[in-house]
Amino acid sequence: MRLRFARAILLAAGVGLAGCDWHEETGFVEVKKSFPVFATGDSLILNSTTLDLAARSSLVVQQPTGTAVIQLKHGETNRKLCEFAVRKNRVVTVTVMATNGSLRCSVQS
Amino acid sequence: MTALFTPRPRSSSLGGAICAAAICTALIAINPAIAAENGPSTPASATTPSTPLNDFRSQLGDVRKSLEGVNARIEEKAKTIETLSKPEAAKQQVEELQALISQTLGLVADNGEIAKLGASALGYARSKQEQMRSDTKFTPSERQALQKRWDQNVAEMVKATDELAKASNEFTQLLKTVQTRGDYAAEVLEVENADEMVTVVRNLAGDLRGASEGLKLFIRSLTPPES
Repeated sequence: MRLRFARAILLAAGVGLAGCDWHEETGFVEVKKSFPVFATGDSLILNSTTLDLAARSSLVVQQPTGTAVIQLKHGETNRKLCEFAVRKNRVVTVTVMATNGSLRCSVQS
Repeated sequence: MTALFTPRPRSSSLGGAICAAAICTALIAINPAIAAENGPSTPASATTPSTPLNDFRSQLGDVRKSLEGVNARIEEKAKTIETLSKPEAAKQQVEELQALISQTLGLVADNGEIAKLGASALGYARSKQEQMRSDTKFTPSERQALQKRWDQNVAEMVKATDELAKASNEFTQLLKTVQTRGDYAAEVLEVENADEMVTVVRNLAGDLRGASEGLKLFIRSLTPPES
């Protein structure tokens, strides 16, 4: 009885998985930081991913294709720095730099 | 929040329904109540405890194998690209190459599974290192021996995670090279010079061979931390 039940589960799972696509279309965002340190309490967010750029000057993050947004999080407030397209199997490089005391992005795809 | 998977568009209604049904079935299958009915199960590995370090070590071994496979395919692509004579074939080769490199970059990207496991394993090793420093339970010689092992472990973990970051950077540069050459070839084709387009793509073979040699060196240096 148990064996039959297990077989039925495996069969259903197999049929079900055939209808699923486990890989969505993705591209990559290379984020480069061209300033020494963040102000206290500041961090960068790519869509919903917090970028840990405290110890490193660049990161490569896989993202679903479509529009991506980089924001500067300062305490409870978020400020949009730039918006760009992520394309399938391609890298878009975003350099975040400090100009006149504020951060801005330069995007190269 | 990124979805774990998406139903294929061509069969969205039926495929999605079957897919959902399968998930429900799978969830029922892993329900502890039902599992308990079948009696106690044997752990997958009774000798190796699941710790962040063991998980990372095992995943890093898998990544290394994947990289070896990718390297062989990159060399194969370089050979194919050298024999190209038609623009359509050149375009297809560039697209396939981008997909191949992307698949590999996905493995070593900073938000990939292996990077997360690496960060978790490094955190675990550092916490054990700290624990041994403040230990009062063991004898001084035992404590010293354990401290030494954890110091060594942390150093190896740092090296392994640095190597992964380096791999991520190298594959990013390679993908950029391929996409830029592909874009240039497309521009050349747009101004109706099919022969030159093929030549541009064929020149990629040199870059690919260089990348392959670099990758071989990297794979040799990518050593999972010892237990």
